[in-house]
Amino acid sequence: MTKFSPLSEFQATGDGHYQLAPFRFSPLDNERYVITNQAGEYSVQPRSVVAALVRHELKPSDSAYSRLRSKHFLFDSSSTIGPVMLATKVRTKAKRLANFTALHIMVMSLRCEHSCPYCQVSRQSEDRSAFDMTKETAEKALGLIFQSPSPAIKIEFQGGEPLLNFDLIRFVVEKAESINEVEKRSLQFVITTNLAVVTNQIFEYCKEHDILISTSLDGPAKLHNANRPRPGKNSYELAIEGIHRARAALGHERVSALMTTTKASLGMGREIIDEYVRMHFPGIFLRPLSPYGFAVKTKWYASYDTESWVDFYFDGLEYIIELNRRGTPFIEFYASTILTKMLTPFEPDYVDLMSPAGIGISAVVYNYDGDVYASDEARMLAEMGDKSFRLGNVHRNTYAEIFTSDALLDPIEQSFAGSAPMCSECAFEPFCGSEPVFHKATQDDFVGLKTRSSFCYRNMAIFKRLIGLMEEDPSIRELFMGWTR
Amino acid sequence: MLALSGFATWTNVDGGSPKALLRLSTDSVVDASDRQHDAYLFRGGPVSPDYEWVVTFERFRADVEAARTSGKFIVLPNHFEYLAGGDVIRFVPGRKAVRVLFRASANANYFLTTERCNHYCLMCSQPPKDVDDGWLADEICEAIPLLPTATPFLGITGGEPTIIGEPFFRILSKARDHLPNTPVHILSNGRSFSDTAFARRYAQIGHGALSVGIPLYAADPEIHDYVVQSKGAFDETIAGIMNLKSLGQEVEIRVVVHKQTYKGLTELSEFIFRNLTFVDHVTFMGLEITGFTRANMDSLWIDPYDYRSELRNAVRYLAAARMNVSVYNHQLCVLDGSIHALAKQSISDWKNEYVAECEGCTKKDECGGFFASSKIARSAHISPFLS
Amino acid sequence: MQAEPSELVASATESFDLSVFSMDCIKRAGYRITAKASVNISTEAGNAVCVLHFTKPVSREDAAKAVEGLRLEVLDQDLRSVVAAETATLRNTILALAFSRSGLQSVD
Repeated sequence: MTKFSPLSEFQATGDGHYQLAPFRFSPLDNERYVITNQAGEYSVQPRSVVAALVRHELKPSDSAYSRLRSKHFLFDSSSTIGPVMLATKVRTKAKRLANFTALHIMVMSLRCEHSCPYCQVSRQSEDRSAFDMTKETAEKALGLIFQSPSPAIKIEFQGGEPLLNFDLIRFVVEKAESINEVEKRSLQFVITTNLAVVTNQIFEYCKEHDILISTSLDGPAKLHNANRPRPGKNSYELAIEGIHRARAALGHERVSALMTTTKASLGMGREIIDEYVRMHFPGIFLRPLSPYGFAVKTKWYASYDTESWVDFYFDGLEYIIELNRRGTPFIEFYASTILTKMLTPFEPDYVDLMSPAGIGISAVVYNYDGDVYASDEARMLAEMGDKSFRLGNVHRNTYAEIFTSDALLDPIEQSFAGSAPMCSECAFEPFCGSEPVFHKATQDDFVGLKTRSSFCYRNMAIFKRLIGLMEEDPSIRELFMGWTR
Repeated sequence: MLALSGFATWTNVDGGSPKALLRLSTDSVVDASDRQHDAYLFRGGPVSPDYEWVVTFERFRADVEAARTSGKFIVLPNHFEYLAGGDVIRFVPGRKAVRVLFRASANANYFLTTERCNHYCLMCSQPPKDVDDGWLADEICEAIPLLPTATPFLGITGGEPTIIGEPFFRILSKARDHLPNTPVHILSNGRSFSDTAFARRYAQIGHGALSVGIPLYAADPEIHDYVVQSKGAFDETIAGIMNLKSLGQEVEIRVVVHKQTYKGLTELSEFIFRNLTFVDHVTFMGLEITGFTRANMDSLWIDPYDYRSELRNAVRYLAAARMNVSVYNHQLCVLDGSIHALAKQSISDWKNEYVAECEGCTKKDECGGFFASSKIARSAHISPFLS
Repeated sequence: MQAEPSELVASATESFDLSVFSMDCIKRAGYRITAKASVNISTEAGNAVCVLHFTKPVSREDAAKAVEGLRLEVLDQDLRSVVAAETATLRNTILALAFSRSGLQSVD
C-alpha cells in the first residue's frame, strides 16, 4: 500500500513566504508577549517568536507556526480561506454596534434617605421634591426611548432612591407597556434600589409587571452599615431582609446586588465574597469607587490608590477561584465581561469597556430634570458641574438632535481606542474601552494620557493577570470559559 | 454482528429476472397495493394469496412449500432470521444475492449513494472505488417510498454522496415527499457546498430535518489535507460549512480521533468555537479498525486511553463554551469521568459488541461498546466499573 | 540600606542611530515611558539623543532600568512599524470584507 502521500507533500515549503495578518503585541511580562489579531483572538508567545514572526524568520517546523496560522496571525499557501474567516470574526465582534442604545436609565429622583459618603450621584436630602422627575418629563423621555432602533429595550429606574417616586415608576411602566403593544420590542424593567423603603405592595407590583430588582450590598453588616449610613443605622438589615422578600415575591434570579469598594473594604475582600456566597448570589462584581459625586467631595475616592484596589481585586479573584475548586460555583462579573471578550467570538454589552465608547451607544440617561446624558457616569459628572456630556433635554431637543449632538460624537470619535495614542498599538485594546467620561473627570481630556490613567493601569493589570492565570493553569482557563456569556 | 448480505439457498425466481426491492411484511393479509414490492415474511401458518413474493428461512422451507404452491419464493439461510416486518431487502435473482437495505428496528439506517469519493482518507472505513455506480441512487429512490412513515432516522452516506450531483437532490426530494417526519443525516466532506449554487440548491429542497455531518480533522490545514489525502480540502470544507450555515442549514462537525489528530484537539476545539461557532453539533469519534485503517495501523492507531486528556480538554472546552458536543464510539472506561455524560451510545447496533473484560460492568447499559472490528486492536485499559 | 542623596539621578541619556530606527519609532517609545519620565529628543550627527527627565530622582540602578525599558520600547516600535507597513492593505481588505458583505456571523 503506497497509495498514500506523506505529510510533507501537503506542507508549505518554509522559505518565509507568509503574509502577516494585522496584529498588535504588548509585553505580558519580561519574557512573553500577548499578541492579538483584528478579531481579538490572543496568543502568548516568547518575545523571540514575535520578533521572528515579524521578520519572516518563523519556520513551518517551529512549534508556534501552525498555531499562529490557525489563529490567523499569518497566512500562507496552505490555505486561502483565512482572511475570509478573520473577516467573519470581525463582523461578529462588531455586531453589538448594530443594537444602538439598548439600556435607558431614568433618574426618578435625586432624593435618598441614605447618606453614603461615597455616593457618586450627589443625592439630595429626602424632602425636596424639586429633585423628582415629573410625569411630563417621563412621557417625553419615553417618546425618545421608543425612537431607538434597538429591538430590545431595558429601562432602568435609578436615583437617588427611585422608590421615593414610586408613583412615577408605575406611570412609566404602564405607559411603556401600552406603547409596546404596538412597538412589540423586547421590553424589560429594572429598579435600582437600596430596598430600605420597599413595601409588599411594591413587590406585588414588580411581580405583576415582571420588574427586576438591583440592590446594593457592600459586604458583612459592619462594613455595609459603615459605608451606607442612614437613620437607624440599619441599612444592612433592611437590604438583607429586602433581598429575601424580593426573592420570595419575584423569584431568586430576579434579584441582583452590587458592591462598591471603600477603603474599609480593602482588607475584607474574602468576607465580602463570603457574604455574597452566604446570600446565594451567583457571583459578585468587585467594583472600585469612581471619581464622581460625593466620593470626590468627601475624598473617599482618593482614600485608596489604584494599586491597592488591584491588590484587593486579585486577592478576591484568587479566593473566588479557590471557592470554585472547592465546589462552590461563583463568578466575578468584571472578569466575566473581559473573559467574554478574550475567549469568545462575541462582544458583551458593558458600557465601561467599549470602544468606540459605550456612551450613548449602549446606554443613555434621562435625568430627573429632563437632561439627557451619554452614560450614568456622564450625569454624575454633570452633578459636579461638568456638563460636557449633556446631549440635550427631552423638552427642547429631538431624537436626531440628541443622538447626533457634538457632545456625543466628539468624545466617541476622539477617544476611539483604535486610534488613540498608545491604545492603537496595545495588544489589550480589543478587551478594553475608551472611557472618555472617566478621563474627562480625572484628566480633563476625553482621551487622557494613558501612562497616567488609573483606568488604563487597573485594566492592564487585570488583563495581564487573567491571561497569566490561564497560561499557567489549564483548569483555570476551563473555569474562566464557563464564566463567559 | 449481523450479516447484512448473503445468498438465498433456494429460489424459484428465474435467474434472468430483474433485481427486486422487497418490503417484508408479517401481516398475513395485505391490501395488495404494491405486489411488485411487498413480500410475506413466512414463519409458518397460512400464506395469503395476495402476496406475490414470499421470503422465508431454511427451517421453514418445507412448511412454505406445503402452504402455497404459486408465487415467487426466496429461501434465506437461518442466520437471516433477525429480519422482521418493515425491513427492506434487495434480491438479485441471477446470483441469488440478498442485501438488507433497511431494518425497521435498527437505531440507524444508512443508504450508500456511491462508492466514489474525492477524498482518500487514511482511515476510510469504506474505501472509495472509481466505479460507475449510478444505479445506487436509482435504487435508493425506489426504496424510500417503501419505508415506514414512522422511520425515526435515515442516513445518507458514501463515498461522497454529493459528487453524484442531481441524483443526490433527487434522493433528498424523495425523502422530503415520502418521509416528511424523518430526520435525514448526510455524511459528506462538505466540499461540494463550497459552490454557492450547489449549497443553495440543497437548501431549496426544503426538507424540514436535513443535516450534514462534515469531518474536520485539524485546525491546521496541512494536517487536515494530509489526513484526507487531498490538497485544498480544508479550504473547501470550511467554505462549505460557512455556506451551509449562512443558508440556515444544520451542520455537524465530526472529528475522528487517531494518532494524526489527537495532538491538535485543543487547537481544533478552539478553532471551531472561534470560527465556526454557528455549527449545530460537534462530535468526536473513535477509530473503526476497518478499511484503510487496517493498512495504516502504524500511523493511525493509538490507545484511546493515551489521548484521554486531550479529548477531555477539547470536549470540556466546547461544553464550557456552550456548544453542543458529543463523544461517539468510545468505551466509558477509557474516557475521563468528567465527560461521561457527553458520551453517546452510537455504534450501529449491528456492529456493537462487548468483550470479556466488560463482565460485571455496571455501566454497560450506558456504554457505546465496541465495533466488532475492534478485535484487531483495542484499548489495553478496558476494565469494568464495579459498584 | 538608605540610599545617599548623591546616588540619585534626575536624568539619563540614550541615543539611537537614525539610519537603523525611524524618528517615529523613537517618539512613540518615548511616549510610552511617560509614567516615569518625560523624554526630550534631539538629533545629533545622525543619532536621536533621548534625555529622560525622571518625575522624581531615582537610583542609578532604576535609571539604567528605565534606559533599558526605552531601548526595548524602541525595538518593539520598530517591529510594530514593520507589521503596520506589511499589513495595511490586508487590514483594510479584511475590514471591507467584514462590513460590506451581508454574510455569516456567529449568533449567541
